[in-house]
Amino acid sequence: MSGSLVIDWIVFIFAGFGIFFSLLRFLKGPSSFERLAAVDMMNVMFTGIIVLLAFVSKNNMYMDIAILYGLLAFIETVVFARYLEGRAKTIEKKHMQNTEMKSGEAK
Amino acid sequence: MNLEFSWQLLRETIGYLLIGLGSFFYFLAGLGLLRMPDIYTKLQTSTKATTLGTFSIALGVGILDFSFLGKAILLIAFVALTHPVAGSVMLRSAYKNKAPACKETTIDECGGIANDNGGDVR
Repeated sequence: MSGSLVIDWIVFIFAGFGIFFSLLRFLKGPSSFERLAAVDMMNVMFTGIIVLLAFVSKNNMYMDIAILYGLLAFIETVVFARYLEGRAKTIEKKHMQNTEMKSGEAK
Repeated sequence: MNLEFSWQLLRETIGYLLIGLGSFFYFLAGLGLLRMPDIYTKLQTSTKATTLGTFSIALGVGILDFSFLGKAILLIAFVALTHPVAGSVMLRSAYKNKAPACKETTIDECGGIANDNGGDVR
């Protein structure tokens, strides 16, 4: 079984590099959308790595954990994205109110 | 060397190939997220590559160990339902906030949405 052990190491190293690059993007991302995208991608890769852990440790319970983790990651992504979108809406509403006030003053 | 055909060897070969392909796509997704110039291309590479990576990792684990196959197929169905929605929501919030595109971008196919105040979009 040493060959399969080497393949497991290679697989975990590749997925770990993916997570490491996402973490770098999370640390240096210029806007909050890139940070959100990096967090979402890290969650997806963690789901895949939990599935790999289920295979390596021969434990069927990790698959339930992977499914639940995917569900919670999806909810987190949608909530944060809607929050950022709503923030844009309120900023734009304030901007429109300011322009309406300025146009009212001009009239 | 024993070269006779066995289902066990075929199954392990296909499973490990799928797992390796999935982890390689995870690597490519991270690289695309790190190196792409703006938020739209970053979301495009990372979302599609990680979706394919999760598909092939779950399917490979299910093929390698048949007791995982039911939950692996359940996970694949769940991922196929939720990951495109999550990517679409993130992209929509970035586009509504007028996130800057890279300078190679030549066309904005839905240019009316970000600037137009009418319709069902807002």
